[in-house]
Amino acid sequence: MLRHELLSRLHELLSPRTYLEIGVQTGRSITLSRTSTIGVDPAFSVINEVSCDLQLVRSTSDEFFARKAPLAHFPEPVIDLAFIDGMHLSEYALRDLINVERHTHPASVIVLDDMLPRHVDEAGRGREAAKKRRAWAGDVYKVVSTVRALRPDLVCLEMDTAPTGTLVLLAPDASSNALIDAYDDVVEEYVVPDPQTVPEEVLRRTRAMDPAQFLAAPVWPDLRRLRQLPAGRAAPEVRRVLASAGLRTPD
Amino acid sequence: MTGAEAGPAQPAKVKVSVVVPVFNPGGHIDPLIRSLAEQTMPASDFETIFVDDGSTDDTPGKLDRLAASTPNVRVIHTPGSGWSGRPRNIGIDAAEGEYVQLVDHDDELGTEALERLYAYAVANGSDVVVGKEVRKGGAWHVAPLFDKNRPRATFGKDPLVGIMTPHKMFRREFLNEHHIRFFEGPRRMEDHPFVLEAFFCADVISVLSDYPVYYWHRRADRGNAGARAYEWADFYVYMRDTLDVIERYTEPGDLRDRLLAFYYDSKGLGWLTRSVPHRTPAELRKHFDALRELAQERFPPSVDIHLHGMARARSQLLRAGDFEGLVALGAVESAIGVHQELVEIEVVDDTFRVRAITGLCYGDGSPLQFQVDGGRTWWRPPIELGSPVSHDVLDFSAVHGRRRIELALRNRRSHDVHLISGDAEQMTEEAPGILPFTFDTVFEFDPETVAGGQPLEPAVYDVFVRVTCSPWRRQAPLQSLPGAPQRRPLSRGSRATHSVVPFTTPSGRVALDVDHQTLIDQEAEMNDREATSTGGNGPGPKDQAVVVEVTSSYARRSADRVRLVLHLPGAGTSDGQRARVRLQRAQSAVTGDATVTDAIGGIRVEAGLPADRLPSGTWSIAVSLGQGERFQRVQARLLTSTTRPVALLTGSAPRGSASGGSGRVAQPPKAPGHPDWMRRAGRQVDRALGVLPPAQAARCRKALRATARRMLG
Ligand SMILES: C[S@@+](CC[C@H](N)C(=O)[O-])C[C@H]1O[C@@H](n2cnc3c(N)ncnc32)[C@H](O)[C@@H]1O
Repeated sequence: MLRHELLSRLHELLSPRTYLEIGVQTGRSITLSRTSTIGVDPAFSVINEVSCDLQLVRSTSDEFFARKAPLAHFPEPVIDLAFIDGMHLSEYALRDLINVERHTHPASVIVLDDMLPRHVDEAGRGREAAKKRRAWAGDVYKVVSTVRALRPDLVCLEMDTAPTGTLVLLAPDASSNALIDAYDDVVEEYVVPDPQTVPEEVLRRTRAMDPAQFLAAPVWPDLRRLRQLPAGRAAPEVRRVLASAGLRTPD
Repeated sequence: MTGAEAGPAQPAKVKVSVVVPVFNPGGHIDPLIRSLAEQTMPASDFETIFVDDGSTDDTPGKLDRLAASTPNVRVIHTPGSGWSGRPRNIGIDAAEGEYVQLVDHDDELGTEALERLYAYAVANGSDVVVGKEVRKGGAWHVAPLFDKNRPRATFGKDPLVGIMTPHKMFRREFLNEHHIRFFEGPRRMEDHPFVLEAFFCADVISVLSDYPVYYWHRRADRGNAGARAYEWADFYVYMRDTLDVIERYTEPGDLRDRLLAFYYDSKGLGWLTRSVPHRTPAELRKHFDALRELAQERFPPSVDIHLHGMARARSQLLRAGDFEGLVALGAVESAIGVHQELVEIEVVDDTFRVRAITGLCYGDGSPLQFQVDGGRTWWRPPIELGSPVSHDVLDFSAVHGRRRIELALRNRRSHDVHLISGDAEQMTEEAPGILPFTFDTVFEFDPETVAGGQPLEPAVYDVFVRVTCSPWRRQAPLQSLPGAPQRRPLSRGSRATHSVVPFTTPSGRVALDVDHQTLIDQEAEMNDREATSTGGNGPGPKDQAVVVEVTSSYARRSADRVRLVLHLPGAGTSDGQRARVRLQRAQSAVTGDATVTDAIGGIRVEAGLPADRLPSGTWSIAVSLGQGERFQRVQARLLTSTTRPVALLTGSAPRGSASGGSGRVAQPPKAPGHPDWMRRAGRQVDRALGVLPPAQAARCRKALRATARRMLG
């Protein structure tokens, strides 16, 4: 399944009240949205048709979140569905995740693109090696192991999408400080010269799930319903719903 | 003063209590709240007490919410008392700090204000610290008091009386021991008795001049009763409170008379003459009568010796009851203005040399004239002064010799002002013995040192001329050369550490652009944006900034520092070379040492800067490689925040966002398909065509457009 198809199906199943996209480029992914949407990209050049209530922000994601009320365009300042596909360097993606999660509800869904590169060449911090392969995923895959190590409370599902794999995070916790507290040390580990050492599990997608199976899980009506509850009450419910559908971070 | 119970001394719980009397500020209080949140003094070291004097707008709720979410903020609500005296007293009583800083609700503190004031106070054991006050709004003003730091100022010797605003820091126990409090209720000039009493009682008064501590927003619609028309009789009733303090604390004699003379002139005679053009004869008459009554009662003739000549003339007219004479003199005096003609601006060896004909002139543009006679210099007033005026008040010998002609550079953002004295040569006699008050003046300054020994910080500076021939001090924006094209450099700039380029503003005045601020500063007037960007010898566009390699550069926090790692292009250096990194944001700049090492394809510059000096915001970055090397901007900015990870963002900042309704993508602000260079070329063409008659220009434009289309396809 193509990652855009995964995203498109998520829009349908979740019918989010709000959608945030970091990294818009030509609009190929934002075109899938039918809801109140904010797209953030310092250099967008949208060529696709768009059919939603859209605010397009010409800014880096970090500066976007530094604004006073970044989500003012939304009816409510909560992100139901997020697609993180901005700067493809791991420290940027981790910051995007930290900043996005702050604005989520436990029933929100966060999708990160390019988390499972296919080759080491594609996973460099620089683009040189990727040139011969046409696609550049960058080293954002590093976020997977950070999240798996530091956030056992999150449901962290790697998706076997084409061309590169995606990461879906469920049961986010806007009040968690685990990632931001670790950020400064993690950066030092992230910023290392190419070539990167990409774990076998990532390259071979040993933990990855079939996206079709994920989309078929009987959780969507519940997630939509639980959005109505206050975060504190929704969190245990969301976890229960996900667990009984067998959705949990694989070992 | 109202009774402050000097009970047992309370031990201070924090270093500073900021006391803010509040009445219906609306949004005008937001800059203050922001500036308090951005203080470099740790929040746990100071508290803010907002005393809401019965506001009827949405302020009470706003402050309550702020206090609920901010541990070092307290709010006290009191029924409206009509003026700021009572809420200030309540705040001082509630304060738990070692020092109390008074701030008004629509003003602002510099980011480092509390940290610096407190350190200065502790170092000097101060009872009162007067921090440099900068006016925002209205005419700029540089008090002579702030020409240097004065750790121990003496009241009566240092020019403290010029600064009677209460925006100062006071040792709390000092206020309590001496029972110093404000008069309460709706009365004018409530700050003068308070500040005067503090000055009289203080053992140590310290003046902190090397940092703009306090931004005073002078607004016409200031809250409370400020907008009310003056009732002169009332005003002078309240002035008696101030005079009482002077008399209570001084013996009859020189100091007392000098202080009385100050009030007699600055709040009395001078004010009356200044208001002549703005008031009706009936209003002036009321003012005159009220002041005359006060003078008879409180200003003995011995005070007049301490008035300068013109004020003495005013006093003679007032005491003699010559209303018409005083109004006529006031009309002449208030029409006096700056005469100026810019001759040239040149930059030689990075030093600016501005030559102008300057002086003072009357309303009709003719210069003031003085007569040299028997070794003395006399003013030749353009009108017959009334008979009560004695001839000796026209003797300007001393004053004429002490005249000052200055150039002022005012930072458009911080409003900080730097003065440069001119070398003035008086123009020759117009007739035997008659000298015009006109000078061929040369101002020279080095932008690297003009800001009190420091370089000008990146900003746009408006340039003014100020001419002082006490009692007249006049200032005016420096007009550019006649016909100088707007927004264009006036001369080559200097480019030592900073690029400094003089240019002509759209209103035909002279301004300086330091480090391409007309381009970079989004707050700078859009009008001046292209001032220096479009060719000439001006600084290049900001792309000149050094490229920062994105994949290996980053920022992180490390203990109490923000560590910056910048990979820059550059030849191999000797490892471990010393460098400096400077972060800059609005008025603040933080500079730190850096190390340089070789790296693949360039160099790696590393610096650790104190995190507490980098409050939330976007910081531009400049690097100086090695001793004496100039700082060069790099294409990266640092985003700091207390709630989000610190982020180093490379490349240049994007601008503007678009918001579209359903099914529509709004266009980004740029015209699609028109690259920058093309729009720039268009503007250049527009300018060139500006000299042609409109119809002809339109035909040319059309032809050029057609040619361009053919060439570009
Ligand atoms: C891979 S593209 C996005 C593609 C798009 N989501 C899609 O699926 O069609 C990455 C985009 O991220 C943008 N980008 C780069 N740095 C960014 C940053 N710091 N914040 C947000 N977006 C960024 C780039 O301009 C680029 O358009």
